[in-house]
Amino acid sequence: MGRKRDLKRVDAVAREFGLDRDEFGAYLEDCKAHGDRGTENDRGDFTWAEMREKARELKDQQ
Amino acid sequence: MSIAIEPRSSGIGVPSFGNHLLQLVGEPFLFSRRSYGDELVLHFGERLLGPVRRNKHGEFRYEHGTHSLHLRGSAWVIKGGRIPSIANGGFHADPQPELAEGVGQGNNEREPPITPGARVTAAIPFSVEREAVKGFGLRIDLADGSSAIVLPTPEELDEEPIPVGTTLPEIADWELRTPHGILVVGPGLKWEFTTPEGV
Repeated sequence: MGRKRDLKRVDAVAREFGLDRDEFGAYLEDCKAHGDRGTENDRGDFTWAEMREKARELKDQQ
Repeated sequence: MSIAIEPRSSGIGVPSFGNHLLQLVGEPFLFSRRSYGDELVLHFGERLLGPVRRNKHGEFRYEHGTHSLHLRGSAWVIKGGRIPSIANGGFHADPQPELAEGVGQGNNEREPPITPGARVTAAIPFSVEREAVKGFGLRIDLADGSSAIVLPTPEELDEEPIPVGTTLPEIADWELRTPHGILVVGPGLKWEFTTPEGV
């Protein structure tokens, strides 16, 4: 998946859940860095469903 | 953090948004971070910490500067000042990687070789027009002799299906966020500056 496509996905999910895009992006990267990785590819990127789950995780704390 | 914003000014064409970039001049460099999607964000100004969040591995706090430059749909090259080195990124999406050449001599490092505390001395927008790209680039000079050059890259084809009911937003070429507002530049020859309500 292209780099801009990744960014579009983060922006779309952040908007859907009313999250700050920058905090959400940093949160996702922090999860990946600590082994909580997605299954989209071997880089550990998140699928749409996984990313929405992460968004719920963050939203529930606000 | 979520702020309500309202349009203040916008435009198309020549980079007439240069006055908004003056907000960055004089601010000290803090740190850089790659966010999800390989977006490089350069943080300046005063360091701020977001609220404590918890995830599966423990605690997370969003650390950021009062001013931040987000290199989104762009390739970038950063030339070191005190230490002769070059960092670059985003060129995998660009058919002309040779653009990274000629900026200086040194190693290709992954992280920007900018000295923490070095203040921004100039922020200069410029027009970019080449195959598949029309937009605005940006050059930032810092007091330690380092420079950052930002170059818009071509739009990428959407290759995979998206969930029903979801629309994909446009990705700006780059953005500057400050306490006074958000400058969004690109894609293409458009820009917009929005301010938080009450500013």
